[in-house]
Formats: sequence, structure tokens, C-alpha cells
Amino acid sequence: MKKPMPQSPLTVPVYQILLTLADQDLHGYAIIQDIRERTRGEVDLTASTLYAAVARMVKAGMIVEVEGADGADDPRRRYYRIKPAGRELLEAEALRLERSAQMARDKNVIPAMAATRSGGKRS
Amino acid sequence: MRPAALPFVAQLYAALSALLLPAALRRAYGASMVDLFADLYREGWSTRGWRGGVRVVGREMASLLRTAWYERRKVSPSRPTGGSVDTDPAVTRAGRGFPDPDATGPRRRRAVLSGLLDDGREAFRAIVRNPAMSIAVVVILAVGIGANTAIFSVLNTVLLRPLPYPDADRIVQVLEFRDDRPEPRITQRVELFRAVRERAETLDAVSGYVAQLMNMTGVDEPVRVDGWAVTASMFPMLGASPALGRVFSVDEEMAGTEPVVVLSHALWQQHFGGDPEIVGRSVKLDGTIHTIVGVLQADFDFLGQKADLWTPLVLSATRREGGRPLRSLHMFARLRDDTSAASAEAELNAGLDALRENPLIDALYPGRLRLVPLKERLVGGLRTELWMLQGAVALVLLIACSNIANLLLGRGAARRKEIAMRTALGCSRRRLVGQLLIESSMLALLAAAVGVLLALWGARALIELSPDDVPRMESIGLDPDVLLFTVLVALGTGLGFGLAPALRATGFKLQEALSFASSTGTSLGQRRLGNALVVSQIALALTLAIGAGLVANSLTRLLWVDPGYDPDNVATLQIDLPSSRYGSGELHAAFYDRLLARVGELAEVEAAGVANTLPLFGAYMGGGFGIEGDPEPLSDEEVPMASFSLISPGYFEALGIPLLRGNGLGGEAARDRLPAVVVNQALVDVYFSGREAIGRRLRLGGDTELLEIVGVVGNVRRALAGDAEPTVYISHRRMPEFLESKRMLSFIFLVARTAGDPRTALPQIRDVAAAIDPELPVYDLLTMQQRTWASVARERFYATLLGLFSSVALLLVAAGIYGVIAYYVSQRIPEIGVRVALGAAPGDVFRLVVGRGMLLTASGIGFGIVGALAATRLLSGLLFAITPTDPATFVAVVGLFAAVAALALWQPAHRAMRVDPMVALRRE
Repeated sequence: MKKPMPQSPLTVPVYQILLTLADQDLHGYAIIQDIRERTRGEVDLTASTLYAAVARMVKAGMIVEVEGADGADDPRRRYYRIKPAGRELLEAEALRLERSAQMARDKNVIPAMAATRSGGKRS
Repeated sequence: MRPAALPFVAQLYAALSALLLPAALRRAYGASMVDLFADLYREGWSTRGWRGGVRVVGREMASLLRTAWYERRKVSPSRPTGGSVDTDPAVTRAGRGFPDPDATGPRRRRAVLSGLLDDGREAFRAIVRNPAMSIAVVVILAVGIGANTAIFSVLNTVLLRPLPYPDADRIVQVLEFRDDRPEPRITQRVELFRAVRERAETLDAVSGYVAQLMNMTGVDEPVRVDGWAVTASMFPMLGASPALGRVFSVDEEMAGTEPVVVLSHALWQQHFGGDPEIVGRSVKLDGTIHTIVGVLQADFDFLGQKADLWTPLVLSATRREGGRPLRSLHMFARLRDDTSAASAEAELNAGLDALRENPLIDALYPGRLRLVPLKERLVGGLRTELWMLQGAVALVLLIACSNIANLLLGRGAARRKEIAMRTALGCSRRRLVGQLLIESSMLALLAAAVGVLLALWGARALIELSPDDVPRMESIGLDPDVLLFTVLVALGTGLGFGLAPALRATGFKLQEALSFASSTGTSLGQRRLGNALVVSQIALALTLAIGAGLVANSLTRLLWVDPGYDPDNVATLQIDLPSSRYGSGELHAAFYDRLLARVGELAEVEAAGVANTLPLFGAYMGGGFGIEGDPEPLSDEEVPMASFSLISPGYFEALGIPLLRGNGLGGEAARDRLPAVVVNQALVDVYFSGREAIGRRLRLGGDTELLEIVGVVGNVRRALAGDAEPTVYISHRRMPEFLESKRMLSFIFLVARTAGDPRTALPQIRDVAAAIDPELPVYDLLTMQQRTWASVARERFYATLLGLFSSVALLLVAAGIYGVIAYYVSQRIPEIGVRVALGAAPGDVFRLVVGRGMLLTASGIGFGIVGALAATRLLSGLLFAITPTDPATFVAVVGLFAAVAALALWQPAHRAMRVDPMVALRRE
């Protein structure tokens, strides 16, 4: 598997799925719920977009399907875990976004309150 | 009805994803996608109810189409895709130019749009290339989709939308069911109500109401109002908030408090001009002054009933001044959040057992109390009928789809070369089918747009036509739910009529199609499919038409029934005599005498009478009676029962009820023999078994007075669909005493036979009444014919709709038969030429073509009869004097179909007969 190029922006679903899986293994429904919650509904994936993205991410070696954790609520559900390549890509993307935001701040496009405002809409 | 729809919707999603997604993605993730869809659908339902579910379905389906479309383009051989992450446009945006379904915002929309436009343009060109065909398809489908949308808008409003109350699914009505009676007891005793309210722990907000028609005076003109006495807990339970002032407090349920009233928004607007200072003013209701304490919001719906005002329900004492004590009431409650209806019911019945120590309750409640959901009570009875209508329009759409599929089959043959060419150039079959489906979906969406306009008009017509017993009819409209339904129906329709022709058009051996490029190339398979489609159309349409025929037949029988009176040239109206001002018998009698005398002076009026009831009116009063000289009945069941009608002498003449024997109640002689009655023939048949009744004497109810039978009149039906009940006609001079003993309500009818049009006499009669007493509300000015017509509103509604639907279906079927046979003839011209050249007579050719058409028709009719036998049982509730398998109707409808089929075959058969063998053979 070739190492991805860090400059390339990720699509919103791929970025959000990686972000969700960064600290936990989850199944499809839980991923959608987590993303919806974190983005306050701004990003709300459908079943087909989720699995189309998952298919590509598995193929690209970013994530891998794993056995559900103990006490997983439903054996039918398929759990996913982030792989080192995926984490690397996520980090690169987060840093890229951070740099982009910084540039915008330097030009006074957005207020320079970097510590509290992390780029997402608050409303 | 919560996730009852789940399996179906999930199956639909599964079917669509199986059809649309590329194999690799489908195999690896198809099942998970469907599971996930089901989870999201459930979530939608549980958070936002029916709307939430629909929203998820719409969103997911649309997204599935987008994903499938994108994924397919990505793997299609004409567009290279990189396997590595760098160039995979889905993972990075390196590969510009590709629409990216994962992207969000305007960027994605642009990309998807441009891609869709590509395919859309292609489809559009194909549609425009053949305008006649496309217009035909759009028109046919628009009718089908429009009808479905219109009916669905009714179904959605009446059945599916939640009732407009907070936690409406927890509101129940308390009913008593007994094993020996099919219908429950609807009103419950006050004693039970009190006990339940005090003791039931699983029920909140136990509340009740009673209806009280009232006369409102002290406003511009006296009005008859639909008043309701309600407990203070009723308004909070229904979430009613006042627009002005307040609703009732619990103290106002006590007897002896100052009378107060809450007005409906409509009444406030209509009779008080929307006066913002209304609160604190007073109004006279049945002669008693009530203080107005509030006005409710305009959108408040009082359990689907017409309501003008509300007063507090006083449980402890009399219902209203001068009224009788309250005995029973309609009882509602809200289930507590943590209980189910079943457990609340169990608790209630256990409590009831304890209550049976009260002898009153013990005697009155031998059955079980049941908590019936409010929605079930309000619209449960309409469920079968509305779904039947929806089924009927769905049939029409199905017929339309099948019809169009047949049209497209013909066109598929014409486009065969184009398709073969594209296949040769490397277009996959899946792709081709996809594009043909986009074409048919575009046609369907176009038709849906036209159909929505038709539905807007149709829904308005439905409201006009609908009988009064369909609640919430006035709030019907095209809301987002209905539009979404229409779009889904249209897409389903596009798939429905497009799929078979598309598969058929693309499923052939390539080489064969290219080399064998003759114009007559229709395969056997295609003809078979076409035939099957026509047969199915005939079968579906016949099922529908038989249903419509049964309802129409039943309606005709109903209208042709001899009601026992002559409804032509009869004017009727209703007048209220409030007990506060007409308390004594003398006042009543004086009023009737003056009214009848003055009305009789009108030039238009030939005869006039007053009565306490009227045929078709719906409410009757009656009771037990005894016959002098007959043995005392042994048990309650054997007591003779009859309706009691109080009438003035002119009543029989005014309604044209024939006097069969003896005398009427009129004439000078009657004054001396006041205790005289007239009975109808049904009473003689039932209780005198044909023996002479005149001269015998009756005792009504618990009276001691004996009344002599002086005459026998003909039977009158209470309702057109009902039978004549044994009836005792009593002189109207006894009305005051009947009023006092509560055997009669405080309104009367005036009936007048007129020389000319009764509609011109009605206002004159009203003016006469107003001249005698301007404070009396006079209402329901109707001719007897109008009452008859109104009494069959429900039957007319269904007969009109089913008739309309089946006419459309029959038209489509005729077109279908014509199309298939005309096509058959055009394909067979060389063969017919050969036959004629070999000596076949025109008659033989005619028989060949007509025989073929009739064979199709006969098979369709065969299946249709089977379908009708199975389906018409749904109608049994609507039918009068006719069974759901009425042979006459079946034969008539089948005959009609055969005739229509023969008509449709006429032109193609003639064309076949005129085939010139030389021309035909040269074409080969």
C-alpha cells in the first residue's frame, strides 16, 4: 500500500469517519450518530454514502473491519478500526486544516481566537 | 402503525440497491447497508413519527441513486479509474472532473448535476424525438398519479397524520363491551365516571363531555348552536389554549356557580365580529345568562365534531337550569406515561369489580370496560373504505403502467437498431437499462408534475363531495408528505412501466439484431409479454369496474326504494322552542296553532303539519307500549316496542303518507276524542298479526291513559336503507306533556306540501315563523328531496369515485386492446396477404383478428372475475339490498367489457380485411 500524499484534501465523509474512529471501534450506525452529534447535524451521512466511503477506505488500507467489542449489542453489526495509515492521513489532514485556518487568521479573515474556536460552526 | 411499514420499505431499499449498485460494492456491503437503512428508518420514526420515517426514506433513496450512479460511472470501462489511493477520486480530490458523491455543499451538487444533466439530456432527446408517444404517456400517467395523490392526501390527513393533540396516542375513550352485543356502550354513568376519576391510578386527566344543542340569543339574530358541556380537565387533555381569556377551572364544575361559557374562534368571528373585548360580556343560552370567559384558538378541533361553544360540565346536579339531571357522559382519559393501555384496562376492570358493590354500577355494567385509542374511535370505521379507495386508484395506476409498458414494448422494437449499435460500441446492458429507466422516470416525473395539478383540483372536488362523517376533511391539502408520496409513486411508476420494456429491448443476441435488420422483427417473447400485459389490464379493470358497478347498483336501488311518502314538492324546516320561554303546554299549543294557520294561508302551501321527527332525520323516540286486552308480557323482551311520532293533522297530507283505513287525527271530531292515535301498517302486522286494529286501545310506556286506534297509515322508512318500524302517531297537542316527561326534545319540524318549487316557499315560511316570534331559531331549511339526497351522501361519494376510476380504467383498457391488436395486424400483414392469396375469404381474416382479440379479452375477463370475487367483499359495508357477488352486476359489467373490446377490435379487423395480397407480399 502506497503512502498517501498528505497535501491531498480528504472528502468530508472520509475525514469525519476517520475522526470518529480515531479513539474507538464502532459500527456503521454508531459512526453516523457520532458524526451527526459532533457536527451538530451539519454532516449527516446516509447508509449508502457511509458504506461507499467505508468500502474505499478499507480498500485503501485506512481502516479495517474488526470483531465487535465484548458486549457488542448486535452480532450482525460490523465494527471498524482505524489503521496506522488512516491515522497518519487523518493527522496530515487535521494539520493541513489547521494551517489553512491559521492562514485565514493571519489575513484577518476569521478572528484570532484559535484556542476556543476550532473552525466548526457554533450555531 | 409504527414500524409496521418497516419490512416493506427495507425490502424496497434492498431491491433498489441490488438493482442499482455495482456488484462488488453490493456483495461486500449491500446487506449492511440495508441493516443500517433499517436502523436509520426506525430512528426517524421514533424521533419524528411518520414524517421522520418518510424523510429518512426519501433521503436514503435519493442518496442511494446518487451513490449508485457515481459508483457505476467510476467502474464503467469507458472511464478509467486508478486503483491506487493517489488517483482514487473518492479518497482524495486529485481526480478533478469526477462528480464526487461524498463531497458536500455546492461543489457536490454541481458535479452531480452536471452528470445527471448528461444522462438527462440523452433521455430528453429520446423523449422529444417521439412527441406523440411522450405526450400520451404523460397524460395517461398524470391521471393515474394525480388520482393517487388526491386520494392519498385524504388518507394522509384522515388516517395517517397524528391527531392534533399532545400525546394523542395516549388519549383513550372508555367504552363498555358486552359479550352479547356487537356495539359497545358509548356513554358511561356519572357514578362510574366519578369512581374512575377518583381511583384509577394509571389514568391522568379523566374527562368527559355531553352534547347540548342550545339556542343562543342576545346577539344579532337567534342561533342554534352546538354546545358541549365539558369537564375542566378536557381542554388541558386536548391541549386547547385560549386565544382570549381563559378556559374552565375545576371550581366551575360545582353546582351553583355563575354560568360561564367558552366560545369557539369561528363563533366569535361570526356572531361577535371578532370583538377583542368579548371576555366578560354575556350571552343568553336557552334563556340563561352566561358570562363569556374565553375564546379558543382557531385551529382547535373538538374531537372531529362541530362545536360552537363549551360550558362547564356540572357533575353534581342538574345539567342546566330546567334540564334533567345528568346521568351519563362520554368519557375520555389519558394513559399515564409509564402504563400501557392493556395494564390500565386491567386495573380499571379490577377496580370495576370492587365498584360493583354499588348496586347501580353492578346492574349497569355486566361487561368489560375497554380503553379504545382516540384515533381508533374517530377514524377507525373509515379505515377499510379509505384503503379500498386507495387500492382502487392504485389499480388504475397499475393499469396505466401496464398500458404504457405495452406502448414502450412497441417502441423498443423500433429502437432496436439504435440499442444494438450502442451495445456493439461497448455500452453494457446494465448501463443501457439504466438509461432507459432514466428516460421512463423522467416521463413519470413530468407526469407527476401534471398529476399534482390534477390532484389539487381533485382534492377540492373530494372535499365538496365527501359525506359529513369523514373527519378533518377540511384540512386536507398537498403537504410535503403528500408531495413526497407523489414523487416516490412517480419513480416507482417509472420503474414499473419502464423495466420490462427496457430489459426486453436490451435482451437479445447482438449479432442477430444487427444482421437481421428487418422491420418486422418482433420476437415471440415480446408478443407474449404484450399479451400478458393486456390480459392483466383487463383483469384489473374488470375487478375495479365490478366494484364500481356494485356500489352504483346499490345506490340506484337505494334511490328507487319507495320511502312510503312522496318527497316531491315538500319543504321542511326545524324550529326550536326553548323551555325557558315556552315552558307551558298552552304556550306550545298556541304557537303551533298560529304557525300552522299562518303557513296555511300562504298561496304556495297546499298542506302543512308539525311533527317532532321526520323520516331520514336520524333521531327517533319511542318506547314500550301495552295493548288493552292482551296478556301482560312475561319479560322485558316481550314488551311491544314502537316509535312515537307526535304530529299535527296536516302531517300525513304534507308528506303524502296514505291513510289505509279509518280516520286521521284531524277534523272537528278529533277534538272531542283527544285520546286517539293512528298506527302504521308495520305495527298492525307485528303486534296484531293482521287482526283488526281500529278500535283497539293502547297504553304508552308507563301511562295509565288508554288511547284508541282510529286509523292505519302506510309504512314510512326511517332511512332509505332501513325498514319501517312499528310507529304510533300521536296528536301534537300532547307535545307539552311529552316534553315535560322528557320523551321529546325541544325542537319541532314543520313540513309543507307546496304547489310549485318548495325552495321558493321555504323563505316565506321562515318569515312567517319569524313574524310570530323573532327570537326563535329557524334552521335546516331543506326540501325533502335535498334531505333524501343528503342521506345517501356516503353512497354517492363512493359510487362517484369508483365510477370515475373504473371509467378511466376501461378507457385505458380499450386503448390497450386496440394497441395490441393493431400492432398484431400491422406485423401480420404479409402473413394475411399470403392467406388471402391462397383463397382466404375476408370473413376468415376478420375471424382471425377478432378471435385473437376476444381470446385475450376472455382470458382477462376470467382472471378479472376471480379477482372481483375476492375483492368485492371489502365493499359489503357499502352495499344495500345487493350481495358482493350479485350475478346481475357481474354479467352487466362483463358484457360492457366485451362490447368495449369488440369496439376496440373493429378498426384493426377492418384494416386486416382490406389487405391487398399484392401489396402485402411486395412488402416482404
